[in-house]
This record gives sequence, C-alpha cells and structure tokens, in this order.
Amino acid sequence: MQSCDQNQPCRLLVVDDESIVGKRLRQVFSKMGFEIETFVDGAPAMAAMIEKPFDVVVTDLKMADMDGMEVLRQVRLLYPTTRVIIITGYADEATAEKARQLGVFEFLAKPFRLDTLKDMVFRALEAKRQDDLQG
Amino acid sequence: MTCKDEDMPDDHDMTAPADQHTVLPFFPKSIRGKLIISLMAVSLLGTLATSAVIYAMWRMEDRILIIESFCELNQKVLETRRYEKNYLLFGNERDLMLAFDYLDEVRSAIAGVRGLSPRSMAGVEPPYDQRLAAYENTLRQLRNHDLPAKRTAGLREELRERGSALTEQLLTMDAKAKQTVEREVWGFQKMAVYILFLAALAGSVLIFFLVPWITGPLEAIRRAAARIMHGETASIPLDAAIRDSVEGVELANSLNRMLAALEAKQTQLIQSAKLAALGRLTAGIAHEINNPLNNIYLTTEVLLEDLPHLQCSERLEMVHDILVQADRAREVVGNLLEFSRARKPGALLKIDLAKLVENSLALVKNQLHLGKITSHFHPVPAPVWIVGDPNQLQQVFVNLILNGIQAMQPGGVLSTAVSLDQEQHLAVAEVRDTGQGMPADIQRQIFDPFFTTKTEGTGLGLAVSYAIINDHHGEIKVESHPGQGTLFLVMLPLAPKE
Repeated sequence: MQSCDQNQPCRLLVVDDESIVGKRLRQVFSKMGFEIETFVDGAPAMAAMIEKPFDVVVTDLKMADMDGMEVLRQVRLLYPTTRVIIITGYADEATAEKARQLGVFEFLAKPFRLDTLKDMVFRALEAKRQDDLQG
Repeated sequence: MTCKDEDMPDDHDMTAPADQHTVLPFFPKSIRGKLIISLMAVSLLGTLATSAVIYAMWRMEDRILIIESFCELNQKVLETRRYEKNYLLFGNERDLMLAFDYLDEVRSAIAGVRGLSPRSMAGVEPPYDQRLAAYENTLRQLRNHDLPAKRTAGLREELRERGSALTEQLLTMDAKAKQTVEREVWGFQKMAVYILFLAALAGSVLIFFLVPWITGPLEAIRRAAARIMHGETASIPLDAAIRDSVEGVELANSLNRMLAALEAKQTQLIQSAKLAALGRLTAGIAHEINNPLNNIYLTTEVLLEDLPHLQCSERLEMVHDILVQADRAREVVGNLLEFSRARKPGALLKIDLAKLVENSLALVKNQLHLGKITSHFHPVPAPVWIVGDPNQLQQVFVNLILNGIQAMQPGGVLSTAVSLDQEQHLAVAEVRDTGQGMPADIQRQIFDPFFTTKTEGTGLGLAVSYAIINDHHGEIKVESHPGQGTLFLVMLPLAPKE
C-alpha cells in the first residue's frame, strides 16, 4: 500500500475523456495500493477534489467542457501542494509554456509507457511529501 | 510595347529608356519641364498682349500731339491775321511789322507739325508754303510807302483775300488731319482688341493641348493601375505615354517595385498560412493517432503485467479495447487518405442537383427521425443540371445535412432548397438548421482539417466538402449568428446548355 499522511492511502485523480485511460490506470494504481478516482470530464473531477483532496492529479489536456489547463489552474489555486501531471496527444510550445507558468509538475506526451507515468507519479508524491513536511 | 521589338544595343538602362519617337527633341521629358514651358508660353502670350496695348496707347498719344500742333499752328495764323486786320483798319505800320514777325512763328509751327506727322499723313501740304510766301510778299509790298494809293488799295484787297485763303486752307487741313488721326486711333483700338482676343484664344488652345501633355503620364499610370486591379496585368508597363516624363518613369518604377514587394509579401503570407494549416493538420493527426495508440499501449502493458491474475472476461474486454483502438487509428488514416483523394474527382456526369439533394435527404432519413427533426425541402419545378461526380457531391450534402441535424435539439427544423441563379449561371443549394449557430471565430475555422466542435468525429467532414466543391469549380459558404441557426450555401456552375 502506498501510504501518504497518517498512513492513509495516497489519492490519485485521473481526468481523461478517453475512458480506456481511466480504466487501465485504475487497474494499475489500485493494485499498487492507491486510492484512485477516474473521470472523463473536468467538472465532476473538480467536485470530487473539493469533497476529498487528492495528492496527485493526472489530466488530459484536450477535453470537451473543462480542459486540462483549467483543471491545472483550479487545482493549483485550491491545493497548492497537489501535483498535476498533464498527459496529451499533442501540445505546442505555447501551451507547454503556459502550463509551466501555471505550475504543472510534468508534461507527458501520449503515447507513454506505464513505467514512465508510474515514475512520474512517485516523484510527484515525493515532492508533495517534502512540501507537507516543511509546511 | 514597340520598345521591345526594336533592337537597342546601346540602351542599358531599361528602367528609363530614351524615347525614340519624340518628334521635337527639345521638348522637356519631365512634368517639371513641361510646367515651366507651359507657364513661359502663357506669360509670353500675356506679355505680347500687354505690349500690343501699350504700343497702341503710345501711338495714340503721338496722334494727339499732332492735333495739338495743328491747334498751335492755327493760333499763330489767327494771330498773324489779327495784326493784319488791325493794320487794315488803323493803317498802323507797327501792326504790319508784328504780322511779319508772327509769320516766322507760323513757319516754325509748320515745321513742328511736319516733324510730328508721319509720312502716312498729309500734315501741312506743300502748296500751303507757296500761299504763305504769296501772303508774305503782299505784306512786304505794303511796307513800300512810295506806292500810289490805288496800288495800295489793290494790295490791301489782295492781302485780305490771301489771308482768308490761308485760314480756310488751314481749317481744311486741320479737319483732314483730325479725321486721319481718328481713323488711326480707331485702328489701334481694334488692333489691341484683336491681339487680346487672339492671346485669349491661343491661351485656351494651349491649355487644351498642354493639360493632356502634362497629365498624360499620370493618366497612363492610372489606367495601368485600373488594369492591375482587374488582374489584366501584373505591373505598370513603361509605355510611350509614361516614358514621356521623368517623373512618370520614376513613379511607375516605384509603383512596380511596390507591387513586386506586395506580391512577395502576399506569397509569404500564403506560404505561412499554408504552414499554419499544415501545423494544424499535423497537430490533428498527432492527437487523433496518439490517443488510440496510447490506449493500445496502456492496455497491452496491463495485459502483460497481469495476464495470470486477470479473469477471462477481463482479458477479452481488454483485447477488444485494443482492436477498437486500432480500428480508430486506421479510420483516421483512412479519412486522411480520403481527404487527399477528394482532389481527384471520378467520372463527371450531368446531374440534377435537386434530385441529388433529395437523395441525400433520403439517406439520412433515420437520423432525422432519431433526432426528432422536421425536414423541409423546397425544390425548383424544373431539373437543375450541373456537371460533377455524383458520389462526391452526395458525400458533401450528406455531411452538411448530418452536421445540421447534430447541431439541433429535438424539434429543430432542417430546411433544404435548390434554386437557380441564371444571372451568375449558378445552381444554389441551401442547408439551413435552427441550431445554436456559430460565432465568427469558429466560422473561420470550420473548413480547416481536424477542426471540430463535436466530441466525436474527425474534423475532416467540412474540409473534405470544401475540397470537393472547390474541385467542382463551385463555392461553399457559411452564414451563421449565435442563437440564430446556420445556413450553408453551395454554389455550383450550371451545366453548359446543349
């Protein structure tokens, strides 16, 4: 079990309009002991975030109603220690720069290997843990 | 251009070739020079007219002097005769002497009149001198006191007669001179009026010819600019009319350079627009292919990791996912190929556009029913013949109609119509929905490949439609306002009449 604070399981939020991404990541990360929630739209994901905060957010960039950039902005505003990883099929330099300014943890291009994402999520957790210790 | 036909080995400067057709080599080759020449010509005319008037006035003054000198002569003669009369009345010798003295003054007055009179005028006629001499002779004889009384009386009578003859003749001459002077003055006045009139006439004629001469090059440039606007020519030709002035050549060269720069700029803009479109296309392809690819990766990796622990149904579901995602990627590539194939129309047939639209509506009947959309079709009574690939055109209309259906909530109305624009020789098809419409920034992008506002679909439908209509030498237009529905207009050239 991946334990975060007070031995509670680490919470991971996945937002991607490709439902298969959510399904597979749920399989992988829940097996690893994460508490994972997946959404295909930004708005219900944000509602879930407000109800119980997540440690790491993995979001797609291009979505129908609320895009990944908006998810990033809101998460960074509400929970500054929560890390956001953006996964996208295509992003130009201007979008990447804007995401960096908004405080994205990492940019991950699709298609990605599972290990790369796992590694990124662990690093994000470590970064958050450091923040929490200092805070 | 005649210039090009001629062999001009010496002429290296092709931007400003010398005009070989100029008849008068001293004619200025610049608008500045032409203006100077013109102003000089006009001021020359003005000077000429003024000089003519001044000359006439000067001549008139001359004539007035002649009249004055006649007046003086007349006075002197009358004076002489006054003394003559005194002598005859009172017989005083002194009066006789004074008459003598006055005769000298008469002579000098005659000389004065003669000096002023031009040859054209009679002035004082020579016989008058003889008369004067005869009068003087009589006066002289009267001074002789030794004459018999009878002889003296005769002489006195003779003196009176000769004196009155002098006066009379002088009056006649004076009248004649006055007449001549009046005639001449009238002549000068007429001449002055003629010259003024001629100067004005010459001025008008000059202006009539000078204005086109000066503005000719500018007019030629203006005409060339109009031709460029109509697309008949790409640059201003340096023809004879423009080469007639240095400024015209300079202006034409500057304008040509500007045109070339504009064209280069435009080519650059088109190029960058093409690159931007290519960028969007690439981004679209990347996004559309990377997503299914990513799903395949993820699913495969999970399968590899967990295969022994997964239930049979789970394995099946995941393998099925892989298949669906692989299909998705293949479809994207297929759409792309179709998009590029859209540029090569198949068999061209004569088609009734109204029938084609009706057939397209029949194909989407099910979607209309499912979406609870009412369809209105307004055909023209007669067939609207066009030439094209029926399959491709059908694809366009099915696509437009499906877009319309998808843009509407249940209860919406889809109106289609086919009409004729005889004036423009066009067949016009309309597809109108009562959906939510589009803002202008979306309208600009809808024909771009991979642009879509829908969650499903490739974003290629309208791009393909656009390419097909373009290949049929037609035009596809969109009219839309947010909240007011959308109208797609397809205009195609009518089939040539048999």
